[in-house]
Amino acid sequence: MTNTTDRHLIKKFLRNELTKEEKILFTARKEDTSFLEALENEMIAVQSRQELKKKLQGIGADHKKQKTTTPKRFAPIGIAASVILLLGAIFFFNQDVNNQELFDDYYTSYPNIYSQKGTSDDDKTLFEKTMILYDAKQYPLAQQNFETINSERELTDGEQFYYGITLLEVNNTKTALAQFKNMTNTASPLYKDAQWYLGLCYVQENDVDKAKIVLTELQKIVGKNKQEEIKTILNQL
Amino acid sequence: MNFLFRKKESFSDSEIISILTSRKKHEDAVLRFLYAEVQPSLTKFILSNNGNRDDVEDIIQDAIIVFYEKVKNNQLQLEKTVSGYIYTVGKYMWYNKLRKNKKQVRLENNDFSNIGIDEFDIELFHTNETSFVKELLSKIGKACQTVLHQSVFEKIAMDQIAQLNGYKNEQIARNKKYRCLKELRTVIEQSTQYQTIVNELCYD
Repeated sequence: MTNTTDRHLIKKFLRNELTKEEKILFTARKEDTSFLEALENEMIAVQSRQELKKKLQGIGADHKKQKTTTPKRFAPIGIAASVILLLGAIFFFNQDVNNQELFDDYYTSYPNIYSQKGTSDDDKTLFEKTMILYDAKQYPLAQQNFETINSERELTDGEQFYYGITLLEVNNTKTALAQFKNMTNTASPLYKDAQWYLGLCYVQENDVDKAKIVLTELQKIVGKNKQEEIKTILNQL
Repeated sequence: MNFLFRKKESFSDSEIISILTSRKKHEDAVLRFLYAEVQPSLTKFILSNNGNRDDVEDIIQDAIIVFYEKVKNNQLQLEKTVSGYIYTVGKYMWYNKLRKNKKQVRLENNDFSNIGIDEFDIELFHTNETSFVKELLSKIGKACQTVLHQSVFEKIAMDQIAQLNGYKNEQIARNKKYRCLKELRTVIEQSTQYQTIVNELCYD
C-alpha cells in the first residue's frame, strides 16, 4: 500500500499542484521503484474511475427512468391496440430482466465435496488438479481441464456436475444446461443438486415452461426449506 | 404498478463485498442496488444543503466509486453498513464542494480519516489530473489501457485477463502487462509536467 507522503506527492504531481518543497521530495522519490509503481497505479486508477463513472451515470439514468415510468403516461393515448402491443413488448423485455435477476438471486457455486488426498502434484489425477482450480475460482482453466477429460472419456456424474457449475461461472449457460440435463441417474447423490441447477439454467435462459417443470418435480423430492425456496421462485416465474 | 424492474435486487453487506472482490458477473447488479440504496438519503441531504439534482447524481456516483475502490484494494474500513459508509463519503464530498464554492465554511465534522479516506478521495475528479492522465495513457494504446485497467483496478487474475483479451496463455498476458507498464513509465518520464520538475530543480 502507498504511504501517505507518497500518495500526497503523486496526487499533487498529477494535479500539477506540487510546491517547491514537494517538487524536491518528488525528485528524490522518483528513483524508487515502489514510488514509480504507485504513480503508475494511480494513473491507471484515475482513468478507470472515469470508466466506472460512465457506468454509474448509465445506472443513474435508468434509475431516474424507472422512477418516472408509470402507466399514467399512456392513459390519454386511448388507442387500445398500441397499448396492448406496447405492454406486450414491455412484458417480454421485463421477463428477460427479471429472470436474470431471479437467477442471480438464487445462484451460488457449489462447494467442492471431493477432499484432496495428501499426494504430490504429480500423483494427482487431472480431475483432482481441476478441482484445485475450481476451489481457487480459476474457472476458465478448470473448464479447459474438464474439456480435456471429456475428450478422453465419458465424464462421471461428479465430474459432469462440477463441469456444469464451472460453465455457469464462465457464463456458458447453454453448455452447462446440457451437463445437468445429462445427469439422469436418480440414485446419484448429486441428482437433486443437478436438477436445481438445471432449473436455474432454464430460468436464466428464459425458458419458463421448462424451468417450472423441472422445479415442480424437484419440489416433490427435496426437504421443506428447499421446497419453500422453490415455491418462491415458481411464484415469481 | 411499475412494469420495468418490478423486483428489487437485494444484497447483504457481506454479499456486496464478496461479489465486488470475486464475482465479476454480478457487479452491475450490485452497483444498481447500491445506487438505489443510497439515492434517497443522499438526495435528501444534498437538496437540503444548497444542492440540486445534478449535484446529487454526481455525489452518489463518486461516493460509490470510492467504496468500490476501497473494496477492490482491500482498504475498506467499515464501521457501519455499506450504504451508511457510502452516505458518509458522499456527505464529506458534498461538504468539500460547498467549502470550495465558499457556500459553507464551518463543517460539523471534517474528520473523514476515521473511515479510511483522505482529501484526494473526497475530491475524486480533478480537471488537471484527468486531462493529464488521459493524454498520457492515450500514448500507450487501447490494448495496454485495457490490460492495465483489468489488472490494476479490477484486480482480475492474469489467466482471466488472458482469456478476456484472447491471449494464448497467462504468461503472454503477464508479458503484455509488463511491456505496457514499461511504456507507461517512459511516457511519464517524457511528459512536460515531469520534465519541468526535473529541469526546474537542476537549474536552481
